[in-house]
Amino acid sequence: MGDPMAEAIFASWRLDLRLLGLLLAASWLYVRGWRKLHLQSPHKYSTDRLAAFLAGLSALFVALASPLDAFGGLLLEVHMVQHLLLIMVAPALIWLGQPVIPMLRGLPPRFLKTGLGPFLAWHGLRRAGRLITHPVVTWLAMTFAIVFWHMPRWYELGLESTAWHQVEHACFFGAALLFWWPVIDVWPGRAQWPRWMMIPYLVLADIVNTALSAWLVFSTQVVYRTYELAPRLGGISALSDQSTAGAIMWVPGSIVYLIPACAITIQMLTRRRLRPAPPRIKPFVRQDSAGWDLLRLPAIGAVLRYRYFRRAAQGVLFALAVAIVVDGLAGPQIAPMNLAGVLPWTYWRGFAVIALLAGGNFFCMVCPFMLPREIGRRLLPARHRWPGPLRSKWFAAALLAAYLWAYEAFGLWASPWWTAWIVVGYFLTAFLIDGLFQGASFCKYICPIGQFHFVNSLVSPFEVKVKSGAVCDSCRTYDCIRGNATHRGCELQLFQPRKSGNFDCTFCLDCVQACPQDNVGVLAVIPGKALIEDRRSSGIGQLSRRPDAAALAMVLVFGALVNAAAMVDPVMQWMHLVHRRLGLESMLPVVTLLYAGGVLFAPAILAFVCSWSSRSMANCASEGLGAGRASWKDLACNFAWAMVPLGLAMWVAHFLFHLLTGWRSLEPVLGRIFHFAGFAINLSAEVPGWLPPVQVLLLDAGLLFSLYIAWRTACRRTMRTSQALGLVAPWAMLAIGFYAAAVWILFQPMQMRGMVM
Amino acid sequence: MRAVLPFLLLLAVLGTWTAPGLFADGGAVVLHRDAGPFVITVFASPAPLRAGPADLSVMIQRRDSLDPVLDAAVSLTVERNGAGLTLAATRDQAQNKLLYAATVNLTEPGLRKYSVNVHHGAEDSELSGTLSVEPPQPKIDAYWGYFALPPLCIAIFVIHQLLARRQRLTSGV
Repeated sequence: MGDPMAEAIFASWRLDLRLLGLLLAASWLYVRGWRKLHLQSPHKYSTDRLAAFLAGLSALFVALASPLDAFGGLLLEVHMVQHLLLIMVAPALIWLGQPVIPMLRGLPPRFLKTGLGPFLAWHGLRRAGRLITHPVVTWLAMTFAIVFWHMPRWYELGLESTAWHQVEHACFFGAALLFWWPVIDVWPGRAQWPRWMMIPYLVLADIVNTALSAWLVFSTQVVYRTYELAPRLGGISALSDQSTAGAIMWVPGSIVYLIPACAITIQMLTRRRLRPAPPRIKPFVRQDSAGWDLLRLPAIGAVLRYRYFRRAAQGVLFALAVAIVVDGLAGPQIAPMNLAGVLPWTYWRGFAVIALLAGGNFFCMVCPFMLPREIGRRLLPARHRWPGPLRSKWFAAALLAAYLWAYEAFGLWASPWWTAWIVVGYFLTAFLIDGLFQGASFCKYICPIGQFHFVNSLVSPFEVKVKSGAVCDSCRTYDCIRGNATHRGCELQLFQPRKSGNFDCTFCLDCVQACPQDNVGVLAVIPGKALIEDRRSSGIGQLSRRPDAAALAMVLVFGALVNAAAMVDPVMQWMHLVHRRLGLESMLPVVTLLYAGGVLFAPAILAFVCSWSSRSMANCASEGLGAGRASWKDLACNFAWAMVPLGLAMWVAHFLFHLLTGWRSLEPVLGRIFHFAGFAINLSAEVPGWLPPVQVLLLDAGLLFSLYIAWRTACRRTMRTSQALGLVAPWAMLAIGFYAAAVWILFQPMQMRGMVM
Repeated sequence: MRAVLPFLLLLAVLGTWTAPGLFADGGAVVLHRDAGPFVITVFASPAPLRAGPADLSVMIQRRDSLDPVLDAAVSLTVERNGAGLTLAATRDQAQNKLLYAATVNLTEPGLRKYSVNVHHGAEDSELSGTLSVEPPQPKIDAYWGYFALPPLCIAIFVIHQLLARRQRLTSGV
């Protein structure tokens, strides 16, 4: 057995996920770029560079997460070692890795060119870069940071407060990065002083370091009061600890300054070139840029491509749906004790939105209502075509609004009985509609859940699409839409070569199975690309020319807000107040008022006001040049889609709350069904500490994405920046207002529905 | 893959960025006193203490040698709503494994009495003191970094667009 104290000390690591995440991201980026550059120029980007960079990041991790951090508050000497790593070891090693070019090359080329390109070519930024990397500036920055933070007042502040301690470390690390820049001569920076000037640069820095060290070593009283109060370890007095800390700063600190000074001197004297001669350059061969296909993933791809996977998954979900119906009708009418109260409202919704955000419309892929649709087709003739007047999303939008209203009006989350009947109703409707009408009429024109997924999957990072347009050009059989002897084609009449985005796509993969050229996959795309580009798509047309689809999107976006608002304390109080004031017997009229106002009238009015304002402002900006000739309806249809990311963000933030606070809510239900004594109802519905920041970050991302799409929409309509600004301004205000309302709602006490409290 | 990896990377970084904010256990020394055969030091974090979750950690040392005691049973009792809330402080919960730590939810601001009980073999010791708890941090203060993110990104985007436009015009000429 070892020394327990030593074991305790070496066990005092901190798992700092933020730090680890950042360091891993930086390593990944560097290695990605370094691999490309190493192929081109192995001498310049040698493995030594890679090792130095990774060692620098490791030193940073050791400084901030190792026992050095844990004991820094008890012993000044340990704290000093931590600071030396931050100031002298990590930055120097990182710069020795010459990371600027590798990290830039590690970025996606398109982002590098169009995203960072304008900044990299900006003369102002270059001038600022040259200014802050000027040796005078870097020397002063380092000296100031070290002297300032060693003053007792500020050092104590860092010891008392975690936040200020982080600021202190950031100052040290940032100043040290600047300090070592001219010493290492980081590429692609150009030396601003002759090389020999680095010798006095380092020696002067060492003089400051020596003075500060001597002050600590020779002081006759404890400089930092915290160490006087701290428990003494190993019999080391506070004064002795301080002297040792000073000595560490003095001797190893000086060595770190003097080694490069000596190295530069030797280089100057031997007239060797610091930079190696340019080595032979191999051409970098770019790999095939075909989109990444989820179906090519070793395990997941094989499962997804398996012919019977979809049917099996649908069977599992169908079985669960039957269990929900049975338990909902026959089980106890206490939602948290019933499958019908827990499975759909806590788990299904949460996982469905996570799948949308991370992948695509995977719920429709495994939809349990496929089975009644299939039975309907076999038992009934299915000869009719869906009525012409109903071939739009108007009816679906109305049904979606009704569905959202019914959830609140009938308290579906609290009523297993009603939930069961909803599922039964779904089964019957699917059976009848697809039994009587051709194609996937139920999915396309009726199903509210399907509409939810169709709209939100426009922001998903995967899309069912063709891999190579050239292959489709030579195709004459069109199996992806017509089907063949063994596989049917797309039921929703989406012709793959002309499909854009996930709207109306159920991820059924029928087209994947049917294509004889294996030219359809689930490909990675830029999320929201279809909304940004707004191309004409097969089976749908152009989204911006579909008022029905735009109305559906707006219902869904505002539904996210109203659905969450109805379960927060202030809104519930307001509803009860209205209920009392009006002397109503039931809450139904109040709920109806809230939903009619929030999901139907508010979006319609706001869309009108924004479109009208857009038009007016664009006209003003163009001084009557006719930029705003488009009708308000046309503008609304264009810009309504920009709100979709924000709406999805709100849905995800809301459903994550229920999923995470109720993630153990299945236990009492299973305990009841299987008579497990171990499943006691003692669940505490605590909100995880990391959830609120995640929710705000989701909304941040949604807002930024919405604003970007709105801007691109405006830019599609006009070439003039002033007009584009006029067009986008009202919609930007709407998005910001939506964001503010969403944040307010999420920060209110929220009813934990479906929970055993 | 090229399209997805940066997205996933961004998500991972953002995800880890929202990891629960850990208090560096230790924090400010609120009590350092001899108690029976031990020297007991109590740390509290954050400093100053605010209503909400707080980290209280204790170091136990032998009075004669100042060696840390690592196998004691330590409990903390904090007055809450007029009643005492007792929590076990353990080394597992501490980053610094010489300390015994417990996370306590200080529900309301004001002065809170607390006591530390140490059992080590046949030796028992108790120490009490008072914590000054300040009102909780407003949410806008706690999340200002997250709220600042959109304006920051918008500002960067505006600059980007201006630069890109200028470069287009320059190259056009």
